[in-house]
Amino acid sequence: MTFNRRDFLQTSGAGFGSVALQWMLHQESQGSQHPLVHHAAKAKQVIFLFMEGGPSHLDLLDRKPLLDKLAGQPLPSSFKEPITAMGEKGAALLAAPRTWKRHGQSGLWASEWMPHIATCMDDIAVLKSCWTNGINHAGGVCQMNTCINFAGRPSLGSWVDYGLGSANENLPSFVVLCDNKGRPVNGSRNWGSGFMPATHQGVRIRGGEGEPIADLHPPTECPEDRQRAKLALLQKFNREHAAAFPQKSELEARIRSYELAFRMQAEAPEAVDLAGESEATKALYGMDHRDTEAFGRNCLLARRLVERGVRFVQLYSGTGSKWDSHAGIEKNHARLCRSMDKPVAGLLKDLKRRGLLEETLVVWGGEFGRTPMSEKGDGRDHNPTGFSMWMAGGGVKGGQSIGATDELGLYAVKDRMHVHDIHASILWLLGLDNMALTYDHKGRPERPTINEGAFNAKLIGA
Amino acid sequence: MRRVIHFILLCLLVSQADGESWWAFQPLKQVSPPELPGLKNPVDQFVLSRLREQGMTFAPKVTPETRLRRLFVTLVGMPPTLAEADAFLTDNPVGAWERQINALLEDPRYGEHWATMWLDLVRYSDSDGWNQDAYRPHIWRYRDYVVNAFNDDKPYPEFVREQLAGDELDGDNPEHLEAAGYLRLGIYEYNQRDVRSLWSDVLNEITDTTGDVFLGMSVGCARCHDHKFDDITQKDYFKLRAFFEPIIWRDDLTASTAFEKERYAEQMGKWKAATKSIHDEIAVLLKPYHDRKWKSTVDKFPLDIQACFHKPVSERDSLEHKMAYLVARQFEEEGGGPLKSMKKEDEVAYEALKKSLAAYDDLKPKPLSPVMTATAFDGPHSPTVIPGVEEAVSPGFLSAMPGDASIDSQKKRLALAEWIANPNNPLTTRVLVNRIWQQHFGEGLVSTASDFGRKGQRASHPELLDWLACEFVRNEWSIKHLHRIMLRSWTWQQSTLHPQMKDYQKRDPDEKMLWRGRVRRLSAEGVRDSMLMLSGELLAEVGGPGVNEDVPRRALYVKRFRNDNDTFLHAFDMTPGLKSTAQRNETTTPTQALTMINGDYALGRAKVWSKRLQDDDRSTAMLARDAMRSAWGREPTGDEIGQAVPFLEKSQDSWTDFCHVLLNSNEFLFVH
Repeated sequence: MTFNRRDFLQTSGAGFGSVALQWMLHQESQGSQHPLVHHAAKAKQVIFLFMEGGPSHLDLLDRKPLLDKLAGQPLPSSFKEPITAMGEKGAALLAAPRTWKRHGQSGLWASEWMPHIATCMDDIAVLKSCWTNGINHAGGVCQMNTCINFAGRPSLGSWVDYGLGSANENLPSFVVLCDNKGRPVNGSRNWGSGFMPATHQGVRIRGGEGEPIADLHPPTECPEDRQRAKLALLQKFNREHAAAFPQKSELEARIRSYELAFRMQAEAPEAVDLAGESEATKALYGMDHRDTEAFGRNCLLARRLVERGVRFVQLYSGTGSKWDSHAGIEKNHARLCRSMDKPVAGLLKDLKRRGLLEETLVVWGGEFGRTPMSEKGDGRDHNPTGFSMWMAGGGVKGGQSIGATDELGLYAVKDRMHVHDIHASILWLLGLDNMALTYDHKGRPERPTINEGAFNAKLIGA
Repeated sequence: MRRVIHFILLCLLVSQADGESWWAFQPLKQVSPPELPGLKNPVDQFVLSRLREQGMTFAPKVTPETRLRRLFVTLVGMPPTLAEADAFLTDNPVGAWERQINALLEDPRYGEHWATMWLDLVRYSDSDGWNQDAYRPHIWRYRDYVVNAFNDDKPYPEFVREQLAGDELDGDNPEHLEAAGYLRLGIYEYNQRDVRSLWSDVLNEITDTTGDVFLGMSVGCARCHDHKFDDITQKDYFKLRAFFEPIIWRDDLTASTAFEKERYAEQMGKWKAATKSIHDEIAVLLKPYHDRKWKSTVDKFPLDIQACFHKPVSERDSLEHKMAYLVARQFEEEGGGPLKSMKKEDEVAYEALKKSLAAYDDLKPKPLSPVMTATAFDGPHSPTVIPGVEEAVSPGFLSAMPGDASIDSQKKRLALAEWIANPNNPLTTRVLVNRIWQQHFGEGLVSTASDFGRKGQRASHPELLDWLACEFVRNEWSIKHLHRIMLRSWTWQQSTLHPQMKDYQKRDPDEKMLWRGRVRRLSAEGVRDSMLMLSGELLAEVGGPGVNEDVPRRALYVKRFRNDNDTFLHAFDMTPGLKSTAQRNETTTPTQALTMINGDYALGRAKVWSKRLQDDDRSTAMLARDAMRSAWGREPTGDEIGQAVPFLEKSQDSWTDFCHVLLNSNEFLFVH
């Protein structure tokens, strides 16, 4: 840009005038970004579909005929008894009474609980041997977000923002959406920036009525002309003050932060306004049905956000640990799968038809899976030692299954992928090397995957 | 033998790298300030002599009013009121500055402000920090202990001893027990069955934090491998952890005096005697339910943990006792007592018994003041084992540092505290003096304040640092003495503008040479407290339990929850209380702008403030002047008043809007 935006604002005399604003937005869209990547990126952005509470891999993607055969019996002694969260001892194995089918050209298995996603299996790589350290929700959710179960490190989205920078500075580059008014386990700490500056932390956006971002608009009691007059006086004071103290970048930065805020005020509502979306598109996401409306809306918002350059969008499904099914898994999972399945498939299809799937990595999974052993008769406990996730788009070769759990789906045994490896792989697809991306903190070069983890090249068919 | 060889190897490695051991491990140098005619303040002597070597000199002093605002923000965390400013500006100039410094050092707001530095270091929070993130109702006593320590200018060695080993000093002294709350500050939540890993994580985290806070060394790397950059071995790490190994958490102790406890026990005896039969009946009624609840709680744990729980206390070692404690916590936290699944008739009977018990309430003593603290287990101490190596280690000091004090097996942490708070420990004083410097100047002489190791920065003025450290020890480890030296220096009182700024910036782009003052933003707490001060709402109460955000007390007292990172204070970079923080980030974000210009909080303060102004019947120009003076700490220009008056006369709401503009203005948010 040859023209300093602030100069323009000043000389235009409009303060935050709309003409100036239009001009700036135009300029911004022309400016190309050159993120500092370590190798050629496959993906530009990530949509992380987080099934909070821990979905059962045994009932969705990881078919275990032996489980149905041994149902009702205790875990065979050939399997090491794990420490479980709820600690039910000697519980019988619980059948997964599903209808399994192979799908697409690739013939990947999926159960009847995800009929729509099943139609996208050729775009999906299923990771069947994930494992994590977090045995309970707080630790598991923390680890899936920050790579460790202990609080205090930056979230993956913060690392991505730190590594790649923003592609649209009028919007936050790390955005979180929840499918209900609840609070996810660990609250906003999940998208905190840990020891990094708050600039990199995620911003929770709310779809639907109300403000998408907290304090985005002046309070209703303060009409626009009043707000404009206030800002004009403020910037006048600030400019005079900055002129008296030249070479204070902090003061300049602050003047600019108000301009950015104002542009966010203009752009964010447009980004989350679904009025321009056709009924057909909304229906594709399931927004025309009560069961799928909430998550469908968020999936559609996610598409709109990545279209506008947001780097990392995280969608919570079952916000507040709703996927957790210690008892009555049949009812719980049937309902949650219904709420998530069509919207997710709609997202994949919509991204694909717009040519966005190529550059958008979609990740699906929870903080852990569930045990083959029953709990309270008809539920399953947490299983951190083996569970499934999947990835699609962003350079991932679809239609393949990577890794395996044992015959009962209890432990990951083949091509095991720890959360470190999953994060390293996500970063790799974005062009970031998990060992080369460092942030100096207290004399240590901190890395996003805590010096561990590696890209699993099978994801790109290598 | 192996150890000796290891040591020799280490020395060889070190000498190859640097020719001598790392500067921060060397003893303090006894240096005198360079003689410079006309200069009496040692800080100035050190700083100016270095500047002169480069042909540079100080910036002029700031104006008295700006200097005063800087002083207030530095010492008490908020700018002066108009009355305070007027009192200083009209005081007899001879000695006015010293009198003002002394007055603020005696102001209780001083401790409230300086406590924040320490609370950031020890990752203080009012909540547990896992999922439920429950409020810790008694930990505020630790926070108040820190506030009082600063206000009382507690000598630093005492401060160290009381926090690391308060229980080993004089177990009955309430203050010592409150201070030992340091050992409870980490994150912990009860609902975890893998208690063995949980406890190991907790101990590691206390070890890491202790290295950061007291030694300015990040020892954490050595948990998994010998430190790659510093002379800290994995064994050193676990030797340090071994000091903390026998800790047990205590929720049954109180911060009450012996007299109060005696009276309580006496009264309790009376009440118990009077209600014995009722209590007996209750016990019989509840027993089956309690037993069932205990069984279901304990059964959920791995068998080895259940075994710890069932072992009699007298046969347990410290780890077993700790495991049993963590099991019992789950019983209590999940409502062990009052029972959900009681039979109807039992419930009725229970209610009736409680009612008859209530008839004796006037006999029942008021509860004592519980304190969240820790003590050492008084049975056998379990060993610390290096994982993987499976080698047991005893408590011991960092091998690269001096010190061979014997360690009393019953007062291990006290030995650690004595080693840390020893004038011959080269890290302790340098680290602390540097932290104090950082709070005055925006950056430490060592800019990496919790990393004095090889990956950190070297001191910009090593001789000044050592002189300050020696001076600190000479003056009974008084932090207030350090304040006086720094605040009276020209170095501290310099303007943020320098006539040769452009030239100097080229020669010293990082401004390490201290040739001008630094512009700094108010801290998160500073922004909130200053707004409340301007609006006139700020309550002057000191200490006590945490309050909700809407209570107009200082931000220090607002309950901090580890899982809520999106509050007003967090927008301005308050720490989340998860890791030790030596220096906060200072960000400028659109989120701050939105919070300040659109959010309720700043606008609400503006409304209250403007109402106060409007109740005054002086002229608009006079009131505008007062408002600008109190927000900016300087006399506004005629031109500025000329802009304010027509703005204010536009409408009823203009006053609120004007105050709101002032709260958003850079001159309010920054200190020059």
